[in-house]
Amino acid sequence: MLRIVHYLNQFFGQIGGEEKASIPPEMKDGPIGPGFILQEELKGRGKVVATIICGDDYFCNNMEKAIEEVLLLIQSKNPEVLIAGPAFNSGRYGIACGEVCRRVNKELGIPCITGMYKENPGVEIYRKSIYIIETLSSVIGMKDSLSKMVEFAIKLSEGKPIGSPEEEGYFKRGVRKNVFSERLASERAIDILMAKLSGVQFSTEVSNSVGMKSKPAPPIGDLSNAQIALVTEGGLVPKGNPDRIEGARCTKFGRYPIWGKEGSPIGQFECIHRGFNVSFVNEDPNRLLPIDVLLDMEANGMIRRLSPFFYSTCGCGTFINEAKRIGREITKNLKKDGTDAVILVAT
Amino acid sequence: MELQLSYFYIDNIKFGEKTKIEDGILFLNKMELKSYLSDFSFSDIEIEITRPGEMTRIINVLDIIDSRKKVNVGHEVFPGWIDKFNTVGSGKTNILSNISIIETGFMEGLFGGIIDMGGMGSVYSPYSRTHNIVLAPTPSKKVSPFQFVKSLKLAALKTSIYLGKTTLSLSPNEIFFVNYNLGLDNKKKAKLPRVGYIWHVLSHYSLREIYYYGVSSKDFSPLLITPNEIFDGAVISGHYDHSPALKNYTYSILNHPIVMELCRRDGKDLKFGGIILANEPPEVEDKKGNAIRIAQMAKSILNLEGVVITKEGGGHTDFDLMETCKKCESLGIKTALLDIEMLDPDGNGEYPLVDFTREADAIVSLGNVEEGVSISKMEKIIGGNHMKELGEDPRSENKIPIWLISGAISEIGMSKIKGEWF
Repeated sequence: MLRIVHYLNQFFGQIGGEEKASIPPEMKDGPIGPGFILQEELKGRGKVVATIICGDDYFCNNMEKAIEEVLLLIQSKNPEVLIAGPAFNSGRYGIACGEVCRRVNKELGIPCITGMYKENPGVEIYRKSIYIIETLSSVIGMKDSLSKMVEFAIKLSEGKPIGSPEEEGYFKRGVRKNVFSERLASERAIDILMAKLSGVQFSTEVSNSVGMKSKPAPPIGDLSNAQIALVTEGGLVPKGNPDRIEGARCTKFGRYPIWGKEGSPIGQFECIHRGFNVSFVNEDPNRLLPIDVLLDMEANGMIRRLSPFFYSTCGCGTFINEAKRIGREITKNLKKDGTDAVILVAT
Repeated sequence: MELQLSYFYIDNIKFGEKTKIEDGILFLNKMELKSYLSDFSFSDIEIEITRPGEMTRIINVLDIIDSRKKVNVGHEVFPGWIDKFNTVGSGKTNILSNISIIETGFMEGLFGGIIDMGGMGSVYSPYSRTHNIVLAPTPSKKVSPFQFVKSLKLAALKTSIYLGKTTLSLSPNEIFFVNYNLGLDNKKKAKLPRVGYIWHVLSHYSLREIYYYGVSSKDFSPLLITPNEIFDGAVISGHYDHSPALKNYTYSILNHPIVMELCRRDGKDLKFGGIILANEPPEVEDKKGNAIRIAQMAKSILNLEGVVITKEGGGHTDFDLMETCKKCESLGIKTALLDIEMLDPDGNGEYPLVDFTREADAIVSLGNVEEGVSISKMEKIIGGNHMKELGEDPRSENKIPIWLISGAISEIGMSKIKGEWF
């Protein structure tokens, strides 16, 4: 008998309308309002042991405080699944349901499910981190969406494999998974080409979204006042690789002192990158990190200073999320160093 | 150019006193083969048989080939290796179906894969479903990896022909005719669209190269080849230091799924207008130049309206694939691509492809090569006793990235694994 806690806003929790949107979270035993439909859809497989009701404004305007309070309440009931909403097209309610599900899953390790209409802003914000069942735009879809949410919740609680978005009715999460096609890739390729040649509609099986996601920083006006640092994914590390930076699928970076004009880097550093012929770099690391040239520029006043530290990671089959994290951490360090601009050396 | 491919179905392989086929069973005289394969590069060579369903894990898998034999002509398959350079691709070639010969080897500088014949990990690779003869030589004390792999390749090709001899007095189960004609001399207005295949092969350095008539593709310019030559073993994998998923095994080359399918459809809904075999240069400017020459060949020499394009390799060669696509599309040739996805083991990463271009609007997915899959505990290990990716006990149950399974991912499309958004 699955123990379920249900999260609702002030309206569905039958406290009141907009005038009650600022109420703090409270918990009541058993199901409330739509919770009774939820209980019915469970068909004896589970029980709504408690309902948490929180005002949408209270949640959205005090999110950190509100989520702590909600988590405590949920934890006290020790449910096996949390069901939130459905929120249909209500934006604040959607965000509340999304955040509750995300945090309960992450911090309490409890599987969660919620439901929203496709235009609810909560969908774009939360679709990657939680499962959101697609609903109609209004309460007309209540029974149908709760039914889907129940089936999904049971699958989640049993650890059963989750099917495709089309099969289960949830919004695509932006994750790629391998499946077995009915036909060989070779045949599918010739078919898609023939469709393209004959003007028949076709759709590609994979593509990258095209377009820049980051805005570039404003340019440095006067280089002679700037501290420049070298950052590379070329995998140059002190000989012996003391920080054990991986040569492929890297998860780390190192912060190392640059070599001066007197100290030769040859033999003191090595290149551990698995994706290109590193002998050229090992022969003279200045080929990868032009420290010799930049020190000259510093001496000539073209730049104010070359940062005494360079940052090195390895870009060979690096997972994008790891790369993003490494980039953020390097940036924190660069700011502490007082660096204004970076020369990013790729290989 | 006419070639008859004759297929002989094999249901089982057993060791026996005489190497022959009897009632669909291939009998193999182990001592005779061992003696035939002895080579100064090997201090010893083990020969083992594995069958689908057995709880056996083959490790350090370097290449996989099938068994072929020319019939009644003065030369052999695999020109430039066993026999000297000779024109291949006509007459008759016999093929043993449903068996493969697996090259294994463990040495510093070599990079192998695994094949599970049973358990959870046996659903991904076609070589988990063939009866396999595994060659497991031990390298001699002073041999270099370059010499070792040359000898290993030779041993596999010799085995292929040696086994192929067993078919010579038998009738085939299935015949496939290849009647190759570029169709360029057809003066009448062509009714069928001219479709060709652009085949990029990886050759960045020794141990990571493809051989054509025994010559390394490292310094290739794009060239025109025929399906006939491919089926008679003119193109052989020389990838011994490359990720198991990012190279094409000789078995898949000999049975090239795209080339075979284009041959089958030739004259039906398309005119198979030619194959361009091309390298993947390491430098960006050379990649661009290469793409221009390939597109020019496809347009001006072969007069193609559409091309299927494949690549070989990892992220680096996405650039070659997209560049060739761009140049072909700019000359009015429509393209369809096959490409692997490179995300993290959970399928996160936003961008499945390492490189991309707007013109690539028809791409077939070959799956996320990093996706984690479970493999079962095995009873037996063949092909050595250690592989770093498998931890202390190579027989153990494990979760591994799918790229480690030889044949699960096939960059020329001999697989059904694909990626989808979830």
